[in-house]
Amino acid sequence: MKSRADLREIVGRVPSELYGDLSMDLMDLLLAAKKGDRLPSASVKKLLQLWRRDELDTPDGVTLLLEAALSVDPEGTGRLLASKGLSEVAGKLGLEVS
Amino acid sequence: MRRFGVEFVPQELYWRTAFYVMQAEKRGFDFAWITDHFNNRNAYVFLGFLAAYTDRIRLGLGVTNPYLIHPAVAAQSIATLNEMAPGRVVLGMGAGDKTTLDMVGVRQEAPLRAVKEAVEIIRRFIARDPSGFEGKIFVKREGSRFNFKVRERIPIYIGAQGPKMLALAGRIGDGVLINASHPEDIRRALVNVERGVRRGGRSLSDLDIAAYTSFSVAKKEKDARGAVIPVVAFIAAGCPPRILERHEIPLDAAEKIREALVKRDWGKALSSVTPEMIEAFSICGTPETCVEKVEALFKLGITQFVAGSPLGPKVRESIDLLGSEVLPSLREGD
Repeated sequence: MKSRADLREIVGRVPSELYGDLSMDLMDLLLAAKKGDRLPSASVKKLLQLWRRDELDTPDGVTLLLEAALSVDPEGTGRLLASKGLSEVAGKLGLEVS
Repeated sequence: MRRFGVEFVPQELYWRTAFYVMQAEKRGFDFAWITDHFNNRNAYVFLGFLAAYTDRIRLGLGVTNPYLIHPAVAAQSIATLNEMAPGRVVLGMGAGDKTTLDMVGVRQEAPLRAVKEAVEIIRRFIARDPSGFEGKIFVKREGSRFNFKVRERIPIYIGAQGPKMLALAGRIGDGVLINASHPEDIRRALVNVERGVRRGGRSLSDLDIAAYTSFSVAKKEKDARGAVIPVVAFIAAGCPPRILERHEIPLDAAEKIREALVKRDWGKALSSVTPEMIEAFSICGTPETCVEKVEALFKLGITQFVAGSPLGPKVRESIDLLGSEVLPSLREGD
């Protein structure tokens, strides 16, 4: 698992115009993930705080969403990134993208 | 003024439902109603969490019952919630769901009396009134009162479907949550509410009259209908014969679903739901269709529309559709 600083650096490679769609797609993944109960409560609180402030589509928001998505559904996260044309980002995260 | 509510059943992970409630607040909903059944997440605890993560939306039990939650505890809980979300707390009180109460051996005894006495006791506790109340079911002893003040008024809505409970709501409620989606059911319900209003020497405008609907919206009609089928199956299976007859739904068709549900044969239960049942027991379709159907309910005299479960095939997208395409059109008609 990458550190949050590493993830933040990787998120920096994502074009900022993709943040809006990507953040909601990652959120949808979290809302549907079978292992959603594994999400630590500290992450949940931080996510909801960012959601409350409409900041999920910021670099901090996308980083946190990505971290959460990786913890509950790494394969799904890889597929999602690939579908957004972000295979290189998935690769940096060590995700296999078919 | 038209009000808009959304109902959530806390059966998912708490943070998911919290996300949806916060989304509903952002999309302009006025009320979030959380259902209260012992086999889901605890509604009171969950509302405390919501109080900390929302700013404007009103938070309500939708609805609790006096059989599992004693009126003194209900009053204490909403009074505490009110400290966390001042002026944003509402209480929905009903007779509970017989099937769920049965599961824990609780008898749904004298439902009208139980609700009426519960409301009386809760109001006295909220008002810090030390007077005693000797009901046939519930008692509040002389001198009993909270050790803390409740600064805001907490409206009490009565959840109702049958004629007598609807009339009781008209007589004593600050609002009524009418468990129906079809205009004919709402029209008949309003007649009963009005009966209670007259008996209580009140006016209909004293009440917030909410249609608590089964609702599903999606960009494609087919998707919206597909999502609502499981909810309609349960409604049809538990529906009193007089209401089935009103909608020309054969009793044996509903019985077939009930039997399949008892056997947990979901495939048979869901495939037995007919278009007539969907029409009778839900509001579903594209945003345009939903606007038209909800508008018809407002024209009948409701003052709050509650979009109830399932909301749509994908809850987040459906809340967005409600906020962007349904609510704005309905507000225009206000």
